[in-house]
Amino acid sequence: MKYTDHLLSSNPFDFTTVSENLFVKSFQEMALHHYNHNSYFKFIWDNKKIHPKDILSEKDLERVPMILVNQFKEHDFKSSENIVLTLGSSGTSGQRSVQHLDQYSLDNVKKLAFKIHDQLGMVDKQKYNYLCFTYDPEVANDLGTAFTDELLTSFTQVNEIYYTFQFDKQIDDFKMNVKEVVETLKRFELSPYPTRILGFPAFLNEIVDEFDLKLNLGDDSWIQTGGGWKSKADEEIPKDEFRIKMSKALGLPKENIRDLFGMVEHGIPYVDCSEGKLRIPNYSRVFIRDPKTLEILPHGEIGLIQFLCSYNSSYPAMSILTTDWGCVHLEGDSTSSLSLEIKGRAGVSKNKGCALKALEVARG
Amino acid sequence: MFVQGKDKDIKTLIEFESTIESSIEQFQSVEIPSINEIIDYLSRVGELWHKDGKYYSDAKILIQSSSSFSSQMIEQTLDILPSLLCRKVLKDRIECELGSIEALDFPVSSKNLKREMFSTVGAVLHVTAGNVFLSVIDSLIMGLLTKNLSFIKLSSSNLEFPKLFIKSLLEVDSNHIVLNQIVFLTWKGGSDDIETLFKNKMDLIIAWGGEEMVNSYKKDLPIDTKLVEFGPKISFGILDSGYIDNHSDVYDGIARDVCMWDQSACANMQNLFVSADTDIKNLIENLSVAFDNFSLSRGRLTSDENVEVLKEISRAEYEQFETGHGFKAGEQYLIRFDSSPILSPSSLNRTLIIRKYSSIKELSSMLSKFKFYLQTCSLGLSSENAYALKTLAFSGITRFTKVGEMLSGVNGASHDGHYPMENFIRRVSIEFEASIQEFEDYDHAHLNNNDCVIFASGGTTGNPKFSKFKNKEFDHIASLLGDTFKAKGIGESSLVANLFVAGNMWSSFIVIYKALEFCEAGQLPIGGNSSSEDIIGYLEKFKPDTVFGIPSSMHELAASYEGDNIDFVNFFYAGENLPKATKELLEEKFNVQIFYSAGYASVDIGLIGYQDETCGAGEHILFDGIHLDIIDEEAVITSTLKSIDPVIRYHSGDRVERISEKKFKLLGRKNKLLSIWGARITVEQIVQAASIVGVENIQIHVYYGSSKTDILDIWSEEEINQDAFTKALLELCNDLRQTVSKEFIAKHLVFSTSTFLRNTRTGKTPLLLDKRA
Repeated sequence: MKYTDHLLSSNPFDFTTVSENLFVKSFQEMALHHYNHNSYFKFIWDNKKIHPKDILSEKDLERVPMILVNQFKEHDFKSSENIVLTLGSSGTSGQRSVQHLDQYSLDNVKKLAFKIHDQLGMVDKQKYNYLCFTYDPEVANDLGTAFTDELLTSFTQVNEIYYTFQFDKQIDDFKMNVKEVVETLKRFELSPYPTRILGFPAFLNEIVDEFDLKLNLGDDSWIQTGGGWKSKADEEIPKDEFRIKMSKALGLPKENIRDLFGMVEHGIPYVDCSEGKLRIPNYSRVFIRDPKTLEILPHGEIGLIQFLCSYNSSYPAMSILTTDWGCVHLEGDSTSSLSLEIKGRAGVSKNKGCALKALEVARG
Repeated sequence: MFVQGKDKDIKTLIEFESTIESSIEQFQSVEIPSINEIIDYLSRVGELWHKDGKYYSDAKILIQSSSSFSSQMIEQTLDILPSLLCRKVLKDRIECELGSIEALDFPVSSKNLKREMFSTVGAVLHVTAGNVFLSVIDSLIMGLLTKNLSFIKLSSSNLEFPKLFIKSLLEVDSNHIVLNQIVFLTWKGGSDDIETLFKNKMDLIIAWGGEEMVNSYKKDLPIDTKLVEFGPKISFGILDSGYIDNHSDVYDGIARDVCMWDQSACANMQNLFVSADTDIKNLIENLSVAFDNFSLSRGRLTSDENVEVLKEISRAEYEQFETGHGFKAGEQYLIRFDSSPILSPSSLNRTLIIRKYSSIKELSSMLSKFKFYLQTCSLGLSSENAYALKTLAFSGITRFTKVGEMLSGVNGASHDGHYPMENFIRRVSIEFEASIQEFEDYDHAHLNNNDCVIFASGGTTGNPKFSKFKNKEFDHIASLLGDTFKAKGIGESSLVANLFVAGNMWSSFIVIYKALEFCEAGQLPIGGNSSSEDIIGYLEKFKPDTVFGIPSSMHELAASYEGDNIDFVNFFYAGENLPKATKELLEEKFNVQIFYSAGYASVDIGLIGYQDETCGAGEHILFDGIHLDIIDEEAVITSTLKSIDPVIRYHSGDRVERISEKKFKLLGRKNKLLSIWGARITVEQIVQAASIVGVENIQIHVYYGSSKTDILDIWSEEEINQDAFTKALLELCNDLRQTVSKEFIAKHLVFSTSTFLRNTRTGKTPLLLDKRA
């Protein structure tokens, strides 16, 4: 996969005609791979009367057939049998996706994640203490979020990692010891090493409120949130407000408070820059589609997010239409200033009336 | 919002609490209107909502701005409102769901109990689904008809239409008779404190809607608050290929079942199960034409709803990949096949999922796993309907319809397996005989007096008994009787004189008249209460070939006739046995050749039996629908021909003997009622008359006199004053007083001073000895 290798070695935020063309070529070569190795992928391309060889320009990417994300929750797709790692999504919508990575794809995803974080100033050679609002990967190593946190702690050296959700055998589930979390943060404050806090923002926000935390973690400390506010969506506060609040409460620069958006099916992390905007790297393309016509909407308009990527050779999720609302902003006048804003989950989750919408009964 | 006729702004928890309490207090302080008053108000409101009226046009504009339905769909829905409020529909609905209208006002006689009435539940909170805007009104109607205080939680998306409805109610109910029962409120869904308040203050919460809403009201519900839920349901069709092939209108029917109200109602079809041999491609093609042609446009979809449809399309695409089965995504619908035979909801908004089934049994077994959620099934099978219905009924389906009729509904039908209105009442049973004049007067004045004919029976003074027949049932009875006359040759060429007594709420004249109508016979409605001169004049003038009458009256007529101008072939008699002497007299004077019993019946029971050529004297054959038991020689009758004042194991007072399963022989009256001179006198009345004149012990003898007329002979061991006795008897027996004159009685009532006769077999001294044949 020569173009893909070349793409993933390049600067993810270097947008030139050459680099953009590189993505197109990488996409074409990977599409051809999936076309030849996955019958469903081939089916949907044939149905739309398009062949990977037809993808020659940026404009052609708009014609690439999409697979709606729910298909990945309802079926198990693979384009390779040499799978080394299978990750699952958290299933907050009620269904879980599974992504399969062969060695090539696993190496690629680690590489691109590193390069994106590096370009955004988040890679550092020094040691850090980590507090991760996530599941202990020793136990939860099949969850995408756990994989993400393990990956994210690999961008620095590590002094200590504390996972807030420990597995409790008594209740056969993960549980957070809130007091212990606060004690750990206080201990980290006194540590010679800076701190990085990773994970769900809602929990951090709750702890700061509950204990009225006033810490000074230092200018080299970071917060990287991810996973959204999940079931605590009613407690969500705007990102900028959150950054200011955490900066004051935990004594670290606002610019070091970054959010990360990712989908296990897609794999590319969308990471905040210092201004708090989720940057779209050259390793992917993001289109916003009208939910009825599926036409591409202009920048700034809200629609369904479509992700395209080319790094993964074992899982045919090259073009996913999500059920998330979002919009793409053009911050400046060049492609390098493209950012993604997530607006929420799309679809009807509860009944409007008396016609049954979702059957939760176990089917025998 | 709107509280018992007044506009009120209610926002805080305290305001909600005070509104609830003051509304309940106000409701309890005023007299509850009668059910007829409530129905009257509602029907007058219904008249205001006709298609050309201002409320209709205003509602259309209001709903258009807040509802996602198309304007055509809105019109279709508004068209329903006048019929929902129509007097007949409201009454039928109560009758079907509760069994009695009157019991909402008063304790009324009940089949199994002595009396029963329906009291209110009290304060009811209605939480309605926002998907069909009429659902608010429908739920409110039930609350009003059952006289409860209704708090209606309005959806924020459906505020204006209910307000308009209240305005129309104000137009007819300026005194707030019905409005006193209504409180409209709104608050944000999920407001725990307000919901908790209502849970604690209401007697009943009726919840129409989705699972989340229903569960929020279920949670922490106090034991003294009842929750009735009409939660999320799924409906579907089951058709086999034979039915599809033979019913060209099936596609339009399915389109209607899916598309009406854009599939948001619980009765809309979401899945269609077809037999395994069905041509899916052909089915989808034909359905798509029908869906394209469906006359009502789909409403606006929200962005999120569009996403749900996209999900279905993606599933359809995958299905196409796996099995080759295509799908049709039209402008306003999606029809797709799914190889999984398991029921699952569609994305609604006119999305139909087609699945195959291998057998009814397996289908039923699969469906039963979703028992709680099942509602309507439209069934179209080319054979084995009974088996399919019985099997599928046990899966949890609560309603079967024909294709195309899933959204039609039958007034008074059950909903989700029970009658909704039943939840709005408390049945109060009175299990002892409460002989309260007020109750009995109410029964006579109100109970089932519409669409019926009421006859008097017994004919006693003081409290005559009444018997009611529904008009249709009475017609049916008359037609059955007419059939027996036809079998005896009565028909178009017959001319029949009706000499039964007319008027006074007696039945014979009318039932014979009606029965003869069914025979298409010519009729002379003379009436036995006409004067002898008139009767004879009509008989001589018109020369009927058939006469209907009472034997003793005809005997008297024949005995006094001196001419030879009356000649009729057939004599039909009822009311009494036909004595031999009377028969001979009629043969002699009127040349009667054939004598028939007109039938064995009573006012209380209706028809019981008839005679045909196989019957001897006194023998009768039971009509279909009549069941005879014999207890101590007495005929005990159960009739299915009469529904009001039902006849269940009714003691007739007649002695009978069974000849075969359907044939029996009349042996005479039990010693309680004496049929004499065309009147009915109870033995007790004769005894009482004697007691009034100071004689306690009598024996009653009845026999034929020399002129072949009945003689009533009172035996006693002491003298009885004849005038005083006669006067007392006439005062006691209304029937006798209306039937014969004092002079007649004087000729035929005799007194004997003698020792009583004894039954040599039993040794007993019978009170009554009726020696007439």
